[in-house]
Amino acid sequence: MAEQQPAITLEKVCKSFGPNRVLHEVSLTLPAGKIMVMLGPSGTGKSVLLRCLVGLMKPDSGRIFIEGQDITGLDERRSAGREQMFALRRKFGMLFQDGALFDDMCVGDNVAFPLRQHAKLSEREIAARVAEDLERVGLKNAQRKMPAELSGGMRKRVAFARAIALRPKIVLCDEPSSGLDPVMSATLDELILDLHRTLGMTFVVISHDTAEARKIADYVGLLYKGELQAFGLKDEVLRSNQRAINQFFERSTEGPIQVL
Amino acid sequence: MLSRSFRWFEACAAFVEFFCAVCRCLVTGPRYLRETLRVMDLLIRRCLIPVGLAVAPVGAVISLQGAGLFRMFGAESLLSSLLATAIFREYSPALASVMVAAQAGSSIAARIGTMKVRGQIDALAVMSVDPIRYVVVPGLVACVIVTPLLSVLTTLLGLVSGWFFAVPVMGVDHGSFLANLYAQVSLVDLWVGLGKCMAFGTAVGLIAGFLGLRTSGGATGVGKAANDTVTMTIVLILVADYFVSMVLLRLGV
Amino acid sequence: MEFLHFVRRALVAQFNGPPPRDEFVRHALDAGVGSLPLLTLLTIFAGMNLSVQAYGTFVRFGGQDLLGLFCGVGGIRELYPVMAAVICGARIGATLAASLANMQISEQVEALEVMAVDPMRLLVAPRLWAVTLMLPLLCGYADVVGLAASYWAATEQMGVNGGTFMEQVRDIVHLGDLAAGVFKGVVFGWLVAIVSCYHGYRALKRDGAEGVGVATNRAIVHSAVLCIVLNMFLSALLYVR
Ligand SMILES: Nc1ncnc2c1ncn2[C@@H]1O[C@H](COP(=O)(O)OP(=O)(O)OP(=O)(O)O)[C@@H](O)[C@H]1O
Ligand SMILES: [Mg+2]
Repeated sequence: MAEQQPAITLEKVCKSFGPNRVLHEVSLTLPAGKIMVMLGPSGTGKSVLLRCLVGLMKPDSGRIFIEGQDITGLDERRSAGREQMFALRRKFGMLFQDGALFDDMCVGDNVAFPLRQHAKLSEREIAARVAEDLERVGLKNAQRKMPAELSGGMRKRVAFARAIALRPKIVLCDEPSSGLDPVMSATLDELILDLHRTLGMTFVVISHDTAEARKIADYVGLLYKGELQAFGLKDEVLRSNQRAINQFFERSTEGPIQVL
Repeated sequence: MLSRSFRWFEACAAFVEFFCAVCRCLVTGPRYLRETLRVMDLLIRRCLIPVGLAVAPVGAVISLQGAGLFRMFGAESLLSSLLATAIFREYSPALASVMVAAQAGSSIAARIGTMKVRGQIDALAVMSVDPIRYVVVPGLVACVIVTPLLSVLTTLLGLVSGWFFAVPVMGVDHGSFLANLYAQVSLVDLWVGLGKCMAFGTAVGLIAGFLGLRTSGGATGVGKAANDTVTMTIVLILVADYFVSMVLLRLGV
Repeated sequence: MEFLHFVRRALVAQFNGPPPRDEFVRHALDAGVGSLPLLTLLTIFAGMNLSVQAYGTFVRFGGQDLLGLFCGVGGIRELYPVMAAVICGARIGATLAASLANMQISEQVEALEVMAVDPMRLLVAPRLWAVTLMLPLLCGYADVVGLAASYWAATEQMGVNGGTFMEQVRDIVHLGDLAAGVFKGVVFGWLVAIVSCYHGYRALKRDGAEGVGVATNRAIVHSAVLCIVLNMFLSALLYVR
């Protein structure tokens, strides 16, 4: 049964900060095992949307279902709600926009952290998994370094390794490719596709990079001014000839998306 | 070891240089008077409550413990003399300064440190505004002026709370309490107290500015600058306090 | 209100099984051993100061022989516990607040939440335990160092008779007083830790580096003021008969 459930369903999710309306009636359904790329200009609430998905922020109204379970009703102020929320979050891996690596642990410990907390593995297995994941992101030799010694792109890759360490069902990536050189970002795309193919992970990827969207996406969404301007299968969206989509994919200044 | 002592030496040299720069800014214009007044206003408002809350209990505790002690010798009436000298000369200046260090020192250091890690200090320099003149000196001047002012207030508060715990709570006679209150206090005590406050205020302002400008290493560095400012000034205040008391005792004032 | 809610969550996390060991040991070492040099220096001077000041005050009405009484009562009952608390509030508390605030503004706390790890359990509980257990030890240590310093200053510098001094200290300071001092240490330790953690935890991402400074500043000031005020009530409770 669980396979039939869509991984993520949003129903009319709204979120504002004071007068600043960030999300307005966002609804979408992402089937399990698909890759969704969410596009949108800077500051339109993409990061906020991700935070809502993992319960770091509560939407003002609307509902969010993760594999059929409603997370908007969970009250984190009560311990039962917290337990449920934590149980739910084990399905997730998340790459934060700024990495959010733990400053006081070295790279290896950062990647090992979720494994030590949740996986019943021996230290040796953990070490093997850490080495494997760091190699995947091309940081085999950085295991003993501290986050402060890394460049922005390296931090991002470590954070990606940490996000996938537990082999979660759903991986949320906030701009994995920004700050990476084209080769590295292509490698990361391959990695996402590979994980998707071999382990059937669901990905939600936030990006500014339309080439990346073309390459990896099954589903594409475009968020602008808090509203989901377009959402659907990649080919359908690209064929739909919406002006906002065209503008974004053609890197044009002409169109509905205005720089203010 | 060698590199550590070298770093220490480097820090001392930097401090001397910093100190000279501050002095130069003090004697020459332009002076940012408006900024100084703004900082003073801010400091008074921020420090008033913490300093008051910190000193009032000290008067109370001296009365509390002192009344018991003096009662053993039937010399309760002397309590107010002890209270007055202790507060005028020692606790009010020292505590007021410690609390100014905690509140004003750490917030000045944190503010300057934030500007530093965000590159605003460099931005000021690029716009040819001397950061020392613009951000350090106003804070320093404000500390020097505000600390004695606060000390006057805390002295009063300390005496009042001391009275409250001595007379209504511990049952010391009101008349003799008042009669002895000023018997041992002279004008010298007052000046010593105020002088100490100005010196300690200077220390707070200087150290906060110096460590704030030396902040490095992002957000953690800001916390460290604030933290170091407080611990260093507290050490300085206690050590200096001891030597001042010692010298005054020897001089017999 | 928000603070009370935080306290409740912290208490639940604190007494919900033993804290993560590595974190606890790290913070206990940092709070305890890390504070020793500073505390030693400060209590030496505070102890000597106590002697010198008390002498200066007492000599005016011919009571210099009572120095031992004064140093015993003033030091062990009041000064050293409060000093240890205020110094630790400034040093340990500020470090706690700064580290937690830094984790908040760089989303590390949220990263923990996403990894389904309770930050209260992993971050706050070990810090609370570490400081609560270390501060009484520091208080006891400060008692010894401070008293020795007072003794030294009284005998060597003021020429007070050493035997009388110690006798008076022994007369006036009972085992109960030491216990009371340690009790104060436990209370202050918990207070410093919870206040500092609260301010650190409350920092928001959008505050940036400034948030760390603000948290540090508040942690220092609030824990110092709370300890001094609470000390008054504890003293009134413990010593007024
Ligand atoms: N905690 C918060 N409090 C108040 N406003 C917030 C908060 N978080 C985000 N916002 C506001 O929400 C809006 C969207 O922010 P968000 O971080 O989601 O943008 P984004 O789409 O991720 O942009 P970018 O591509 O630059 O990362 C912004 O206007 C921001 O000011
Ligand atoms: Mg974002």
